[in-house]
Amino acid sequence: PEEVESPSQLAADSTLPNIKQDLKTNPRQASSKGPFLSDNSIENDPTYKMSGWKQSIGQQVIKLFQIDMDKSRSGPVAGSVYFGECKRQGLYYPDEPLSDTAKFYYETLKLPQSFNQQFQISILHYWILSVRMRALPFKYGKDYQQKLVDRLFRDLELRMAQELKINSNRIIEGYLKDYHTQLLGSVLTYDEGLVTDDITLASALWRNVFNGNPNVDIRHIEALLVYVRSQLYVLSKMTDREFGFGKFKFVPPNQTVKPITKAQEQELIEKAKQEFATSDLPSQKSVLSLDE
Amino acid sequence: MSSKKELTDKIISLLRTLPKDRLNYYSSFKEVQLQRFQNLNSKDLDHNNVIDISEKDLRLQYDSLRDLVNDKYKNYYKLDDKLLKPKGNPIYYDRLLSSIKGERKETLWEAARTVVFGR
Repeated sequence: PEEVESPSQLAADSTLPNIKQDLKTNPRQASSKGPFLSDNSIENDPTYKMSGWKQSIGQQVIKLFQIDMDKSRSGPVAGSVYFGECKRQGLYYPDEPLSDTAKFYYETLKLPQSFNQQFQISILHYWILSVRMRALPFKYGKDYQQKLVDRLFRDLELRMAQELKINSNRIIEGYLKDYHTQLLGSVLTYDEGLVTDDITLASALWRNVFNGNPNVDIRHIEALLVYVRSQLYVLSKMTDREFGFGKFKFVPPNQTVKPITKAQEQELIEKAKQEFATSDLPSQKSVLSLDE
Repeated sequence: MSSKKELTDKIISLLRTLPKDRLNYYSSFKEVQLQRFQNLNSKDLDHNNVIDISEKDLRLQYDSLRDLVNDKYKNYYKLDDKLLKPKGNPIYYDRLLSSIKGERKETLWEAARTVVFGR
């Protein structure tokens, strides 16, 4: 079949004049910057290693009490690694240069810069991950989803206070309820689009991410749809074990995803098996599948 | 007839073939876009008194819409049952679709069961 360009390239092909959408609000911009993940030194330090004696006590405790590590892992993986992935994509601060992914949303797709828009982009990424989480064994998938969504909302709450400087808790709570409703609505329509057809998914993206802009560049919707479908494709080729250990990263919009053959898929599975072959510490225990 | 007019006509007829939304959303892609391109068509495309959309861009709009309608990417990035019949909840999408289409409504008892067990 013919090749598909990267989402950024697809979107950049079009030079349709941009008519700015009147959103009837002047979005409040962040006036300060909170920590990306948290103030916790362990969470912020990717090279952190627990000292040897603490580790061995920990391993003994896990062994002794037969702790379900797949369940325990949902916190640090979904609630921190995958949360970071969802937050990073559309994140921007007014006085800072845009990240590469933020450029895709705000420059290439010409979406308005607002807190709301960032959240819509996070919801989209949450949904992509949650589709994969459903394919984990039920009790783990549910746990991963819950941890991720809890952390997203905790972060919203903190940022509204710290960055947007909203002083009233009552107002913040009101916004959180609105965002929750938006989340439920978006997940429902994305799910509908996933199992029906491209145009239904495209309409869902148009309503939620493009704010129902009447003068939207249809090429841009197409580009975002290619982005979404390609991420889901990559996720579907990843084993439960790798996904559950937080190995997934969203493919940047300027890269192309090419469908793979059955043989290549098998190769990936073998590679994953090799990677996990030496993980036999109690804390690395997992019932998540390495075959699918 | 200008080719720009031809293109907008093609876009309009393609938009007309879209099915109605299954649920009532705050805005309908089909209706909004139909109106947009019909407005565009009622103005004189040849004399550039509408915002200047080049023929190339108009063609891209048409191509994109056509690819979306033809499920190009659903087929290109084909998903298998691993995601579509997820092992955590194999009937998730079937149930979702049948209630969106209004084929079947959950009874109170079933709904309570879903809330308690999560599926």
